Amino acid sequence: MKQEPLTESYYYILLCLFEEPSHGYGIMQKTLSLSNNRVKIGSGTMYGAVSNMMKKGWIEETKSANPEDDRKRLYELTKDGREVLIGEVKRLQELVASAKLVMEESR
Amino acid sequence: MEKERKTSHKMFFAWNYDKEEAMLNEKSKNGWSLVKGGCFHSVFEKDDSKRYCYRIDFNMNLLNNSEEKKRYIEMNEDLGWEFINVTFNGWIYLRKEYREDVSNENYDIYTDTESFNAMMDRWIHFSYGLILLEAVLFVVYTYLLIQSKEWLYAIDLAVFVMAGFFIYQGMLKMKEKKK
Repeated sequence: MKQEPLTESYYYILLCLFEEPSHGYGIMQKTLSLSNNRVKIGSGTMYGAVSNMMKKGWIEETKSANPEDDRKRLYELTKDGREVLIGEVKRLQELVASAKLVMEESR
Repeated sequence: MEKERKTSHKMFFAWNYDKEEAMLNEKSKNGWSLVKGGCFHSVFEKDDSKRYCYRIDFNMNLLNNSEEKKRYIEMNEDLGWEFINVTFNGWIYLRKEYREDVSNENYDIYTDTESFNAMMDRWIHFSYGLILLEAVLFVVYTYLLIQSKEWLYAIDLAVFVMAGFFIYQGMLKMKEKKK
């Protein structure tokens, strides 16, 4: 099935989990810094997106390997989630490439 | 020292949830902070040292699912929101300490159109169920009326029609809020 474009919130959540599992606060902070404070993910949006992506099997809950980390829940990218993110990045690159073709030609 | 408490029975319907939110924020300005929210029963506590920003969310998935509720509370606490309570029908009360130097949009719990509309849709779908229920009751009671010729059933019929219509107009108001 063809993958629908991701919303910015979904996109950034997946991107923030690309390197390592994280929790809500970590995802929010990283999204802010990656987007130069442009993309803010509120708690309702974050909870909804995470729940939805868990249902789709793109991310899953995990516990921290570090026993000193008192945070109970971490979210981790699954193989499917990784593929979705990579596919979306490809799609975005294609969009930008199309724009370049048109805009640079018309200059 | 015991804090002064008061109870409010002011009633808000689902489609006025944003008015209720505004009322809670207004009350907190005057030192009355919510300790338990509800559609027709709310409890406030007097504390002039704190001012909160309140937000109301709707999600029935939290009901009868303690693990999901835990995850919801944890996610909100992680992002700085204190969970106050959830009503029997899925309305959730949240608060965060109010700071004047923080702009209003930083208190948004829904930061994109999709997720905000998804919240509206959760209630709209729920309201379809309610309207359907009224319709089924209407059919059943019409049958009872015809069978028994007991005219008191006509009163029930009128109540079902009015309730159904009332929820229907609320559903339309909720739809208008969608972005």
